[in-house]
Amino acid sequence: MAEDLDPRLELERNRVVAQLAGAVAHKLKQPLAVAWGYLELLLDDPELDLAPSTVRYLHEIRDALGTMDGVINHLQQATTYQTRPYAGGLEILDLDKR
Amino acid sequence: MTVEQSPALLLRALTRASALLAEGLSEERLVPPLTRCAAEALNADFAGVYLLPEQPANATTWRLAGQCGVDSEILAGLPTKFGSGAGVLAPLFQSTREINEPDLLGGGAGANLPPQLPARSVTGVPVRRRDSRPIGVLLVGATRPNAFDAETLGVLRSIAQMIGVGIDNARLAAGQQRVRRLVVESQATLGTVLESVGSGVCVVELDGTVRVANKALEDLFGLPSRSAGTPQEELFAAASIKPRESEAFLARLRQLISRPAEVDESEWELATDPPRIVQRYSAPMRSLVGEVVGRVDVYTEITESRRLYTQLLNSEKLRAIGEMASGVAHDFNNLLASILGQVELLHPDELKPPTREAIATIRQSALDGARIVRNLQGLSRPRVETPSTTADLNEAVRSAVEMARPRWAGAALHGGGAIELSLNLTDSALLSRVAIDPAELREVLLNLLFNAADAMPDGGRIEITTRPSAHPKAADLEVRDTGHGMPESVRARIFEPFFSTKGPKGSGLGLAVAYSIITRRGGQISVESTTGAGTTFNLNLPYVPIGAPSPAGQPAQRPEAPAARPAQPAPSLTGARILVADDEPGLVAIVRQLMERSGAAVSIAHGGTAALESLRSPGARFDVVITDLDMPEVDGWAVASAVKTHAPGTHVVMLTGWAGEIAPEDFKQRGVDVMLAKPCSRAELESAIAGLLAAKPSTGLDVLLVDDEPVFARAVRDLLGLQGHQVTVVDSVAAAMELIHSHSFDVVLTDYSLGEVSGAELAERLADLPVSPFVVLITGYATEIDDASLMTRGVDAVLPKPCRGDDLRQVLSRLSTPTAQPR
Repeated sequence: MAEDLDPRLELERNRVVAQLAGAVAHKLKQPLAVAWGYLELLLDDPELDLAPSTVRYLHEIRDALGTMDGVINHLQQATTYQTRPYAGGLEILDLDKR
Repeated sequence: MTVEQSPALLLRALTRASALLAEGLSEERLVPPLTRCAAEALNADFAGVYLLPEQPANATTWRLAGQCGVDSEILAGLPTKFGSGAGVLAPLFQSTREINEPDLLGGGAGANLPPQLPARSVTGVPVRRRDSRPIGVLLVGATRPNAFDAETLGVLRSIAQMIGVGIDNARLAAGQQRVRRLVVESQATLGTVLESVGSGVCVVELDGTVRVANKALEDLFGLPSRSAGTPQEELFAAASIKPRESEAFLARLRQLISRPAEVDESEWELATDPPRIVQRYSAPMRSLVGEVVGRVDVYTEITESRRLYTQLLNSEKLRAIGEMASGVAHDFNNLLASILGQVELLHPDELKPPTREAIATIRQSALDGARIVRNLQGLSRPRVETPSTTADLNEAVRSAVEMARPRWAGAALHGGGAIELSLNLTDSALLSRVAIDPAELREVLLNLLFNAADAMPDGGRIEITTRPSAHPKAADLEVRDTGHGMPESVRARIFEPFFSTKGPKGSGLGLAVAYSIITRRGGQISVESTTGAGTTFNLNLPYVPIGAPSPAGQPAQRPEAPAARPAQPAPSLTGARILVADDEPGLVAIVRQLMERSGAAVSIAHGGTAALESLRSPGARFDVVITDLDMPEVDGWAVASAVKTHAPGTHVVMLTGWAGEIAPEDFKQRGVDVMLAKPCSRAELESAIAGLLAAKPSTGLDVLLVDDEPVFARAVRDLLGLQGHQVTVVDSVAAAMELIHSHSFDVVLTDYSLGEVSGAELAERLADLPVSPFVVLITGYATEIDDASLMTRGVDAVLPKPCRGDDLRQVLSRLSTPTAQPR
């Protein structure tokens, strides 16, 4: 946990989080952007004449992509390093403690 | 002057004494002959010179330093045995006062002397240093009375003075010699120390001249030997310091000489390959009186400790990245699972081509997103895992090249050089089944291709070669570029996370992720490079033979089927009772729809607590429970454990983003039969569940016990429960038939005599059902009943009543083997 760390390491980790959060977010956003783009293409093209059920599913996918985008933005804004215990004995970055 | 003494003898003795003094002899060689001179000059029968120790000044332990005339033992014992009390020698040895006893036999205090001492008359005088401090005494004696008069006493004082001066001189000379020796010795020690220390030491005078430079310093900086006497700036101007740091290094040296009292600590990188890092500790050198007379600079190489520290930081960074990825993984995977589910529900194969292709891309992007999260999570925990699928190496190369092309074309449009591509792909079965997920292989290839393109800003050639390697059976891949190459120092670190030569453009993760993927899949990746002559990445990927068993806990191998392709006929889950437990309502809904589409009867539970309630509700029976791992209050492990306690025959499928992190033996021990990575496709989920349902468990049969004796029924129920079976008890054939119509049992255990309708009749009725369970008859008349006739009436086995637990187990185990078929 962060409080047991050498202060120099903790500082370094905080710096790393701030810097790498951007890189990681960028990496995660790439496939998202692709999916989003194709989705817009489908929804905006009246000639495709999609069935109402298909349009409904596509909207649900778009909602999910929007939520994912929010999660990534949240990560991008992470500036300090706090972790929380997770199932299976893992430690994960606590995005709510910003 | 006494009558016995001739002036000639006296003169001779004194002349000899003077000559001895002039020789500059050591104390040990000077004192004995001077003692003899004294005896000779005074015509004495014995003489002794006693000295006090040099340190401490007040010590009173006498040492006989010179003697003649009497056995040395007698003389040596005088100070301790006769030098105290009222004896004649007391004033001499107690307080170095002169004594003169002319005639001890004639009424003197002569009784207090040893009998062997030929002493009728004795006299003694102090021996003093130049500063008149007494350092000893001179004692003489004769067998005759009145041997020494006032005149001879004067001679004795003179000789004592000569002894004092002689000892003074000798001690001074000895001291000087000791100092000279010490100086030589300490110089030698300093030299040895300087040459032995691993650090470079440079002593610089205030005018900047190097006074001392040890060999370690010369080796560290590649300086000429014997550099002492050179101005330090001139010396270090030739040192192998990184060019861009060299000027700063010299400026700092000048600055430190101008500020003599300053202490300074700094680090410098040497222009070696690999680069070495040197730390300089510079401190003022002071004289004995505290005046600054120069500087001492100590140069220590810290390359290794810096490397270890960086390694520690990197592993911390890796952990941070892993935890960061995990921080989003939970939400992310749920959303991706939901997107994949929606895509499946769209029935892509029924859509028009453009829509279908767009949907396929959306699906691929969702899978890519999940994979990126998993790869980032896996960076800090590299371990070999067998993928659930295989890839065709040549196909992956072609597809990666197609994906990379637009970027190269873009670079060329923006002034970059053209990139020429050459593919040498060998057609071999060994290349068509490599142990890696195709999407992962594509990511590795893309990273290598981008890396190659970045190394050729002015254009160049990329050559990709695939070929089989026979021992062990594997596939080799070579990606060669004609770019600028890299020095050894870069090559050695190229796969390290966060190591990037691309400045802010690179995250330093691309090749690290590639390395992590390849090693996790049991493969190897290496790089060869020469500055200016290009770089070659070599990959070796294990081959998976056709028909190799699927890894434990993994679904059967499946080809990567893009949604655009017509779907394979899905395994039917018709009639399967499934409970879906997840705290994500969207995900629960989508899994429910997918499973219902496959023909399953689905119940849902929003979270672990609800799942436990569903499991415990009366009459609840599930063939499979699909559960998430991370749920508030009651997590997936608790759900799995509850399932295995209450309904051991029910299978547990865990759907989690952590699937790759948990070893099969761990999750199996905790009650989970199959671990699936979230998000997973409908085909994956379906095939996993179908696989579980197809394999009849060796334990965990669904048993209906029909018996009207409550005590026996309870005992059998408990016994079978312990063996992992689920037992429902009814007390009549009517109740049994009612239940059997609404629920399918694996085995019906029935008593023979059940009032109006017998167990045998029940068996007959069951045999008429479209799917009939096994029937075991339990009877107190087992030996009297005709087994063969019973078999024709639908009974599979007969057990005596009371029956042993072992017999029950054996019969059930025989019936539950996959080859056993109810008639």
